[in-house]
Amino acid sequence: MLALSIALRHLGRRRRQTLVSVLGVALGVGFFIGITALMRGFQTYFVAQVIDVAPHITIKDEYRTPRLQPAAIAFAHGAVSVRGVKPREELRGIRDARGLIAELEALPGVAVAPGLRGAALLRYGSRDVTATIAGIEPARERRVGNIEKDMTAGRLEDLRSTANGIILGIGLAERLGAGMGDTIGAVAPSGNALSFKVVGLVATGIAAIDNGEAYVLLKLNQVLQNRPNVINAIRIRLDDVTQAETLARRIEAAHGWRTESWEEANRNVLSLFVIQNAIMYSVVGAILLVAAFGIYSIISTVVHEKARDIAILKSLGFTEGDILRVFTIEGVIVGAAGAVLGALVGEALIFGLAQVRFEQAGGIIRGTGGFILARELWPYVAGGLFAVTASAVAALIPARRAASLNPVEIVRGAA
Amino acid sequence: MTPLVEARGVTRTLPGPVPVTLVREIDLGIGAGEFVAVTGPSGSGKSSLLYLLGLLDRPTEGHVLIEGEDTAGLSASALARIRRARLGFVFQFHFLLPEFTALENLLLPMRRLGGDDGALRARAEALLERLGLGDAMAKLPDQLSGGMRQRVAVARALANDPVLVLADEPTGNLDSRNAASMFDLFESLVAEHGRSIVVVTHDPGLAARARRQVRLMDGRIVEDTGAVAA
Repeated sequence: MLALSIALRHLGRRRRQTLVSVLGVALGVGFFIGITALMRGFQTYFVAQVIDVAPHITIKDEYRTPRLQPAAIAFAHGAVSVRGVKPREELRGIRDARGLIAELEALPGVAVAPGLRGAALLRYGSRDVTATIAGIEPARERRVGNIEKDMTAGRLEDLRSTANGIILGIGLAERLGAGMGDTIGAVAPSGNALSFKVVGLVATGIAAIDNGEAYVLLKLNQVLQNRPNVINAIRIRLDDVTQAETLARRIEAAHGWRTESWEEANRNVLSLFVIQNAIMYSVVGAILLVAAFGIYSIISTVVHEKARDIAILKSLGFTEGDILRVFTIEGVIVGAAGAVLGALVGEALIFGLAQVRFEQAGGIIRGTGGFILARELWPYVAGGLFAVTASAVAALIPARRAASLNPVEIVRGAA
Repeated sequence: MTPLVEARGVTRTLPGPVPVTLVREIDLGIGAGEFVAVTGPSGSGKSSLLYLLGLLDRPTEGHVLIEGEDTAGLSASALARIRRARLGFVFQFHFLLPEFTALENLLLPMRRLGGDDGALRARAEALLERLGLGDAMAKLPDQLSGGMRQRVAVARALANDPVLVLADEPTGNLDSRNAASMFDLFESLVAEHGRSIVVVTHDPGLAARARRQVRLMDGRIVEDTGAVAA
């Protein structure tokens, strides 16, 4: 191809300039790949952690909107306003929880665990720490949560085999100063008090859980909270995580209980990711844009230097399309070379970042000792495509100018 | 006989706050096998006329006909097609592409016109040999002397075997010996191959070697020694 051979000669003659523009594109693409791997790695890890530790759906003993007063129901659009109405005292808890659990367990790919969650003051020696006590059924719980995997000491089974056993979050245990086998006291808002023996420690990686939650048998918590047979949280785990939101809405529509999918429960963090991504992509986009300007600059320079040659090619019978092709090809070559080199830069960056080790004390998630990097193909493809497209566009502008040059003016100027 | 190229009432004006008329009301026909020298003082419109005849520029008024065909309505790419198949240009400066060897410079217009690459290469080599440039083939333009570069430029103008060669002060940058040999070459091209050549020059001695002289003054033809076709 004639246009290609001319383009290659032009670039070959200006090796240094070409190299600088290729490096510009390569750095842009490389950083895009590296930073994307870093951000996506962290976000994916975080989401996986959340999905792993927390249930996919939680049914709570609450309503999303307060129930209407009988008067408001009777006179929906009435002119009568009833004041000073006292809300009806309701017994908190999910009514007919067992029936609901049975119904949900009949669905395919769904694991269900009931629980009673409530606050309690844990006391060990002179230390008092408030914690959330989760009453669980170990047999069901192990199918819903990952507590068993995250246990650093003891076994989930010990809750059953030991009288008044309790499993503490690792941070909670530290705050109490209690270890395995120690006996701690617990006082609930109901006034009931029980003694528990620490039979296990759990480290989920999520600070809120590790520092503030403890697990006991469901029956024990019902006694502690003085709420016999009450279940106030049903936790659900799905085989297909993406169905969580849909199923949550269905349950809530059918039964009225506030039902949160993991997405809803972590909406604040997930929306933070959206902002984080926006920042990241605009920074990386700016890098690529600067690289594109580099290409524009080199092709502009070449066009300027080559004005005479362009006139000659036209006098030899080359068309405007031929000229346009030559310079656009030059841009695309720079962009493509930059994309390939950029992939290598990105690869090196990921390798380098993977070597970095650091300790991170107390964040929202447990320190991982280093960066978590996502290995995905799409940043390479996206970065490459962007580089080639941006380069083609950056080259097209001066190329069009080149194509429209009037040969007579150039020849006349030179003569 | 239809002239190869013919200007009919051609006027070219550069637009601007003060419009400049380069050539006005030119009527000129150039037939096959003619060797025409266009002379005149600087700014008389010699080069402008040449560009108009070579379809590098379009007239403001009037028509340029190639072998009887009016070019006024043709698109830019149609004009380019005529240039690459029928016309050859030589300029004052050699205007070789510096990135390409002498042979490759010849091959550019040939490849653009198309054909079997081996055959094109053989033809280009033969052409360079004939012009005494056998040793220059693989050299880049800046490795050649001024005279040789200009000969390569002539060879390139001849690459697609044009019917008409248009030369704009081709000897302007050559010493008298090289200039004379350039004109020898033109004479032989006309004599042996029946091509037409139009040379713009302000060297009266060289102009005298052409069989027909056209003299311009202020954009008008003031003298034409042999209007063959009319």
